[in-house]
Amino acid sequence: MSATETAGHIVEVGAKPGMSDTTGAALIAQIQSIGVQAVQEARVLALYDLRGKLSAAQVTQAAKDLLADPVTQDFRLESRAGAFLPPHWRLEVWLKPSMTDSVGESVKKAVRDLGLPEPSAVRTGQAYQLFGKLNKQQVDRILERLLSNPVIHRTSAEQR
Amino acid sequence: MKKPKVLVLRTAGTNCDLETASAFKMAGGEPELLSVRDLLSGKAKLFNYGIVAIPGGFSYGDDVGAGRIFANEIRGQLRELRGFIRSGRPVIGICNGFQVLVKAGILPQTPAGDQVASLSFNDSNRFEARWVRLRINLQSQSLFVKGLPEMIELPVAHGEGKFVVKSPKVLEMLKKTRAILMQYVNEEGKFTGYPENPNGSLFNIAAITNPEGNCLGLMPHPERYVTRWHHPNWTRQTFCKEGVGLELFRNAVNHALN
Amino acid sequence: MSALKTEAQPRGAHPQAAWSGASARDLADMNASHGWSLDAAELAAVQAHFQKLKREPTRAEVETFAQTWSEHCKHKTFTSPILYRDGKSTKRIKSLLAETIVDATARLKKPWCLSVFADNAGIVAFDKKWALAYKAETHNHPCAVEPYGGAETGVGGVIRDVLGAGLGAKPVLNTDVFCFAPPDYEGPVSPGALHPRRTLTSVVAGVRDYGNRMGIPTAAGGVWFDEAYRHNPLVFVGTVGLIPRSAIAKAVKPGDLIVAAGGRTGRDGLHGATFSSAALDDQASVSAVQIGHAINEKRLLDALMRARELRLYRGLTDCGAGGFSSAVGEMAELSGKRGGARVRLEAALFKTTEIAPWEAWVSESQERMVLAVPKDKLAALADLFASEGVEHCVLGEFTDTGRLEVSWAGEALVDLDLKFLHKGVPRRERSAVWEAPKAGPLVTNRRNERARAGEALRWCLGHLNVCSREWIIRQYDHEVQGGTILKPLQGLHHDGPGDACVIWPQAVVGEEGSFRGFSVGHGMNPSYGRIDPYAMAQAAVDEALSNLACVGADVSQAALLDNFCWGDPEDPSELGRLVRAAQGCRDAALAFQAPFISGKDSLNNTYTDAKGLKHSIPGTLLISALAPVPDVRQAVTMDFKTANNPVYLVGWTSNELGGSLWEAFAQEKGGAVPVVEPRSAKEALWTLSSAIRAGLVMSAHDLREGGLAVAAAEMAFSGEVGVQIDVDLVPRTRDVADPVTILFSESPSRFLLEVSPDKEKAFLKAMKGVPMARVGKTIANPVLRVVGLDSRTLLEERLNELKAAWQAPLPRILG
Repeated sequence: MSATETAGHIVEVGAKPGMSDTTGAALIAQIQSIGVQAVQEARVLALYDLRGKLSAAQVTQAAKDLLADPVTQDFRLESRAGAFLPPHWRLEVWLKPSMTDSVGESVKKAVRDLGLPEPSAVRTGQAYQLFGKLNKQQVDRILERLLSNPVIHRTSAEQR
Repeated sequence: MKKPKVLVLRTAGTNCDLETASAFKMAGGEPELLSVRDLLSGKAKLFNYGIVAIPGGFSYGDDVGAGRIFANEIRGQLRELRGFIRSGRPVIGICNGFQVLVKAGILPQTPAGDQVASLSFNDSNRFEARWVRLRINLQSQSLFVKGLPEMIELPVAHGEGKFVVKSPKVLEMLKKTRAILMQYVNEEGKFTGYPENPNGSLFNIAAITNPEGNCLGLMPHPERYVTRWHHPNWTRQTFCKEGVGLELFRNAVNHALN
Repeated sequence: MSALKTEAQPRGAHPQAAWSGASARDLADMNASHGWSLDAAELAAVQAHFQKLKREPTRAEVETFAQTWSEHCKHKTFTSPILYRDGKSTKRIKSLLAETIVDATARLKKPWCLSVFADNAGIVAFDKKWALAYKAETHNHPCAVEPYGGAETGVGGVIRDVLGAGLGAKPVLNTDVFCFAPPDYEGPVSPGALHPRRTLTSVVAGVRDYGNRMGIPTAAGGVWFDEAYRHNPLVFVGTVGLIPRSAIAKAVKPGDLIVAAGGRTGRDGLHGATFSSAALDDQASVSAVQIGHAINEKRLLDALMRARELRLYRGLTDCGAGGFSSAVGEMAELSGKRGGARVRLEAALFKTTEIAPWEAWVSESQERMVLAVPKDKLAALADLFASEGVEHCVLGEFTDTGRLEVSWAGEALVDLDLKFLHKGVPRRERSAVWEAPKAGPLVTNRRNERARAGEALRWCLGHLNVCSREWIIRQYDHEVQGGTILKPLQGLHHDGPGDACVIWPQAVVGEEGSFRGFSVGHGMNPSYGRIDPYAMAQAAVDEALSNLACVGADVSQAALLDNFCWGDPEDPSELGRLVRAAQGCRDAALAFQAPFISGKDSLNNTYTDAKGLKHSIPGTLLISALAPVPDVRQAVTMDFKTANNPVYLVGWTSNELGGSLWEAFAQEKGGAVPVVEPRSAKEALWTLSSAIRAGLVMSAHDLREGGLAVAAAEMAFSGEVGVQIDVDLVPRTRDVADPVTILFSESPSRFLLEVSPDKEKAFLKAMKGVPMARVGKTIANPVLRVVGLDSRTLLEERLNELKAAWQAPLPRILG
């Protein structure tokens, strides 16, 4: 797989509203421990980048049957859509393209076992939605000190 | 005397299969370790067995959520398991096995067989390896708990054991059908929070069954308490009788003998 | 798999300057830019070798030397000559390893040693049918750079070592010992380094995730905190496996196929071996990070256990440091009279198309094993692998040519003389110097500190090197496989500090009526090493064996592992300390009659800061000890059981507070480091071990950091049973004159025991000749009460408060 291959369909999986997101609460505590008090709410999302010849409908099916738990989680395709959230910082952490993505490998096979076309690759990442008054320095510090390792990750941070 | 055959179902990442088989052997059964593939290939037939057990572990590494991939495999390729359960034979899913039964829509049992519950991340956001106290629902007729005392102790070891439901109706249904078999309690038998409830489960639920009580899913590990020397305090209790976990397996074996 | 992207240059030629005419400076530059970590003598040896052959080495050949001759793989410091000056005398050591650790084992000639220093792990007898394989190693440099991935792959690697012992041992226990900087560090974090809290939580998570997924109980270990590990954390991981004695012998015959199984090969983890041998600086190598995926290794484990029973292969080894180059290179040595292997590397299974042939040859991609398979077994093996979802490929065959030959699509990649490859590494002589530190003014009487005894006790219990590790332990599944009879956390509420775990592998051994098990114990104290590494080594062996005795293991049948983590061996005083420590190991092994069966070393644990200053860790030696527990039903835990039982103290207490917790608390200096008295220590240990196994002791705990005060407190609050100790009854040497010294001395070889009154007479008879005294009794009042030399109460602390102080630190710091 070439490192420069473009992204496929990205599925975003997060806790349903009403389901407690313990990872979000734990993240706020960790952020406070590095001296940033401004985060009021945090949500942690799993990202799955399914590359190859799957249609949006097939990716949706994979999301429904495999990637998201129907009881505890919601999923969305292409996060750009849906500006229904209050202003927040969106941080993304992905393994560098040259790194082996073990979970991605498992998902790749599991998608095939669902009877769908096997993706050419699956890359996994995490997205963090931080709600509160934060500046870029604080966000960078959170990324660097808590959420990523520049040795193996590439990251992004944008205000939405 | 004839020994009931026990199918211990394993897949990539199953860990607790050897000791689960050993527990069934101690209980008088004849365990065999096989995979779903073995059943599909015809190497073995599900209905040749008197009991099915899905042991603990990290099937498929827990990638994409504990038990999800194995559950899909069972749901898609082992449809006869539902018939097996309907026939009244004992089926037990332990820890990851419980997660698999829930995500395959087998427990809680519903007419449509959809997934209506889940086992989510522990509230502590950590893997919890500790012993817990469990209160057995005396109203349950489940074959697994015949002759067991109301309060027992077993170890848990999981990161995703918090029982949650799709809607309050599911909890109602579980209560009504006496499907809640075990709940986490403290020393006095009361429902308390962490750490007696190690994961934050709804209604302190640790184990549920189908309404008939022959299909059991539980987060604690009975196969890890089959002799008195498994209990963490055995050096302090000289009166302790043999592991209560073994009784669970004995009940299944005795039921299958009849 | 489509054709690989090839290098621009012809594959055989070296991309840079030719070797034949290169100056030493040229070679050094090439070495630096390629990250080979070869020294001048080694580069010259390679150059001379190829000059004789009248050709240039290929890139792949040089990489093979770099990996095979790395410190990590060859243990050059331990096996090369050392000119050692100790004060006024000078001695030439031909091979430190042979003359200390291996020598002790050779002299002891213990019959339960079945395979030592030969295979991937040490192997000792368990019973008539089974044996135990034990290996411990470190994964320090990767954990400094990427702690989660580094810890995962460290665990994966040591598991594979045990999988590659004999024809494959089944892992039944994982151990983990860490050395970190305190996680509540509040200073600045150097660029490129990680905050110690992050290192700690990430390493624990990595060990947890890999070990739990492999279904191996992680039930023994420890953590040591010291500021000096901030840039160089140490991560020791160990695995014990069970193997039928009939499956220990392995072989390779010419004509056997070279089969690689498990994960695919990619570019991750390049230069792991050379990286692990080099010092860290601000620009630590990026590609040296390996990525693990436990499920692949679990599949491989399951498959190999089945294939072993069917004898579908003749020999195997793990793909660790150096990847295929080391694995095939080592196995090739065993093939026929001269050894040999012929590899067609393009036949390997790859993760990526963008990999150069030399990279494929030395890649350290995880979860791979190499097997020697007789041709007629391949079909059955292939079927078995397929049924477990394991991939495999045939890389070539073993030969008897004496050469390691690797080709890529017909073109020669590597063509090396095996003898030169494995035996040709130049043994350079190094200098070592040891100077005993000048003994400072000794504090001889601490009477004035009496009033602070209670405060000191609470301080010690809350110290990072004593406090409860429950926060870590509960993240590890320590009961999978259903055989953990004594767990790491003991006591009434399952939260006290057990000395060791006891494993009863009944699910694997499957023998009804057999209650035989085993235990592992650890010993380590870098603070003692700062004063005298010899004393540190002896104390570590004493500690590890004492832990075993306390739980009911038979220490007369023990086996030891050594793991050295040290600084720069080119520094003569560092090397001198290393020699001292190795000598301490040898003497302790002989004294306690416990042979070493395996060991590892990790050198160059140093950090060069932006100003060019080199910082080194203190010399750190971990001793791991393994011993059988003949009947697990006789195992003993450390929590006091009931009130009104006599309490005995075994061993002599001396004024030995050098490197102790008390010294840190009171800010004292110049204390005498604890010294093990080998003969009496062994006699007491063996006698006590017998008494415990005979059921004559109710509770047992050995005395370490914080001495008697801490040990008594731990036993009491773990059992929620109070205790009263009369310090005047403590057996002590003449240099001990005050109660504070009695309470906080860290003299080794001491035990606190609770004995049942109805067994007391038999206990005394069994312990005849051992220095010990009845020093108090357990009481119903939940306090720790100490009566001073003046017969007045010196301190009285409530157990719940002591326990709270002991439990607080890690949850408070880590959340």
